Order: sequence, then structure tokens, then C-alpha cells
Amino acid sequence: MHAVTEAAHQATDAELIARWQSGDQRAAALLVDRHARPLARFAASLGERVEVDELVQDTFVRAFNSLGTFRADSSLRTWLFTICRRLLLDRKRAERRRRDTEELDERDAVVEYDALDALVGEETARQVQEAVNRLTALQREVFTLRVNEGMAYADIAKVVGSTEGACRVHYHNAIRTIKEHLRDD
Amino acid sequence: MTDCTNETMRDLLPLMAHDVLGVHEAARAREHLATCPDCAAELALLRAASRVFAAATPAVDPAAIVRSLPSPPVGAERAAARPPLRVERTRRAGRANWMPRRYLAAAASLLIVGTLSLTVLERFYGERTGVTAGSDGTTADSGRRAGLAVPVDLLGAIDLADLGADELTAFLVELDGLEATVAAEPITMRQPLVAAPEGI
Repeated sequence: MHAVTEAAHQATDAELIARWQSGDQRAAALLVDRHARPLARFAASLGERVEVDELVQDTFVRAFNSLGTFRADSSLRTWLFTICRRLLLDRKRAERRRRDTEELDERDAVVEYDALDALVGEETARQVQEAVNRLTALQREVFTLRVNEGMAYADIAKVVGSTEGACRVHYHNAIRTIKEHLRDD
Repeated sequence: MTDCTNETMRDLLPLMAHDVLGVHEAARAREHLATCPDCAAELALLRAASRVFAAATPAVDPAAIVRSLPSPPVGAERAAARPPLRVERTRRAGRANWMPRRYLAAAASLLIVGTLSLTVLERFYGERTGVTAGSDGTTADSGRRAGLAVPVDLLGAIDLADLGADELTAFLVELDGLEATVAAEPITMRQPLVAAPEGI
């Protein structure tokens, strides 16, 4: 039994997708277990605070409804992050419309970022938070995916809709900005 | 905190923080870190940032997410959910349908060629013997005497549409035999035999 469970956990995403498509609901649970927390971390780092769980759930529902169109050109994780980011931006846009403000620019998507409020008391956390707050939205997305998820630039490019080279530049600019902030602090 | 000039190594630092580097790359990175305080400081910063982000991540309930997911596709829906397999099946089915058509076309070609050959042969032997194929019972013997393996009465009255399965099979067998007979040779080769003087 234990061996079966271990084998299931070692299955690749593609294998689990195939099993789910064959009617195995447990495969879906394994996929959710594997990717839910990284998605939540990504959403939180982009400024989503109170509805992270709902956003992650919507991401999975949308992904599973469209698994038939998933061509595995990228990894499932990259695909999930792409969906999550799109949903987040849609929410931000809708929120902005409700407030009757100007059209949301993607750069504004995370201006209100303060997901690290809970750690304000900690000096390192505060410094990092302030440094990250100085980043542009795109720099922050690239930095988060690179640092939090260890993603390759090619995958990051797919998530944020940019190029590999541009993502590399955004990452290094983000690091420079954070270092400058820490140096000045 | 300054920047190391080794961009390649700096690019590896986030991956090193996640322990996703290969054995050789990790060893190379550790070797570099031992001699580069800038990269060591940057790696420490990345790890700190990663910890901060992780600590700020709200909890999610995987079970609730799983409950909200659609049911796995079944039957036709499952097939639709796996287009590559569907394409593969379509290709196989297409090939399976196409193969008999190819054989049918080959058989039809054989019949046409055979019919034309038989028509020419019938006309030739009809002229030589003065008998129209199928006109009386001697025709078949005349044909056989001339080296023709197919009964001429069958040839003369041939209408493929009227033939039954057994007759058609027999006809095809006769056609196979026809290719090996002397009568199938060019006329120029048979001419001396036909024109032999009667007095000899």
C-alpha cells in the first residue's frame, strides 16, 4: 500500500493527467497537492491577499476543464501559473472597474502589494518587502517565479508573455534594485 | 553588496537556492561560491526572500479544491479530451479503409487489361479460324488447338457483369494461365507457324 502511494507521488504530471482522463479522481488530488501551494505563493507574492484560496481553486477548475486542450508544449506547472496570472489580472481589472478608476495597466497589478504585512516586525522581512515593493510588476513576477519556484527563464517567459532574454534582464534589474534598497536602508 | 561579473554563475543562484541544479552544476556553483563573497551574499538574499514569501503564503485547502473540480471525462468526452490519440486513431482508420480500395483498384485494372487482351486474341483467332467465338461448340476446341488456354466460347460471350462469383474466379484463373501460353506471344513470332505451307 505504501509502495503504491509512493509510486503515485512519483508519477509525472503527464501520467497523472492521463490517469485522471481515464477516470481516476485520485490523480487530480495528487496534482492539486503538488501545485496548490506554489500557486498560492505566487498569487500572494503578486499582491493577492484575501482570496488566494479562491484564486487557486479557480485556477485548477479552469485548468481541469481545459485539460483536453493542454498540449504539453510547456509543463503543467508553467501552464497553471499562466492561468493563475491571467485570472489575477482579470480580477484586478474588474476591481478597478468597480472603483470607477482608469483602466488597469499590468504594471499596477501589484502596486498594493503588502502580502508580507504579517512579518513586518521582522527586520529582514521588512527590508525585503520594501525592496520588492520597489520593483515593477513585471520585475516582481519574474523575480518571484525565479526565486520562489526556481523556474527556468524559458518557462517564466511563457507565464508572463515575454521573451527569455527579457526575463533575464528583468531578473537582474530586480536583483540590482533590491540590493540598492538594502544598501541604502 | 556588489555584483559578481560572472553572469552565468549568478543565473544559477536561484536554482541553487531551490536545489534543482544537476550534480555537476551544483558542484561548480559551490566551488565558485567558496571564492566569491558577492555571489554568497546574493544567494543568502535569495534564500531570505524565498523564506519571506513562503511565510507570507496563506494556507489553501487542497481537499476543497479537489471537490470543486469537474468529473473526469468518460466515453466520447474522454476521446475528445485526448486529441493526439484521436488523431492517431483517425490515421489508422483511414489506412484501414484505404487498403481494400487499393486492392480493388488493382483487381479492376487487371480485369480491364485482361478483357482488352482477350478481345484482341478473340478477334485474331476468330479471323484465323473463320469462327466467331461462341458461335458453336467447336470454338473452344479451336481455341485450345491454337494454344489458347481459355475456352473461346467463354471469351466470345464475355460480359463481366453477367458472371457469377465462381465464373469470375474461373475466369481469373484462366487469365493467369493465359500469360504463360504461346498464344500470348507477339504476333510476329506466331506468324511462321500460322503461314506454314499446307502441302508439307
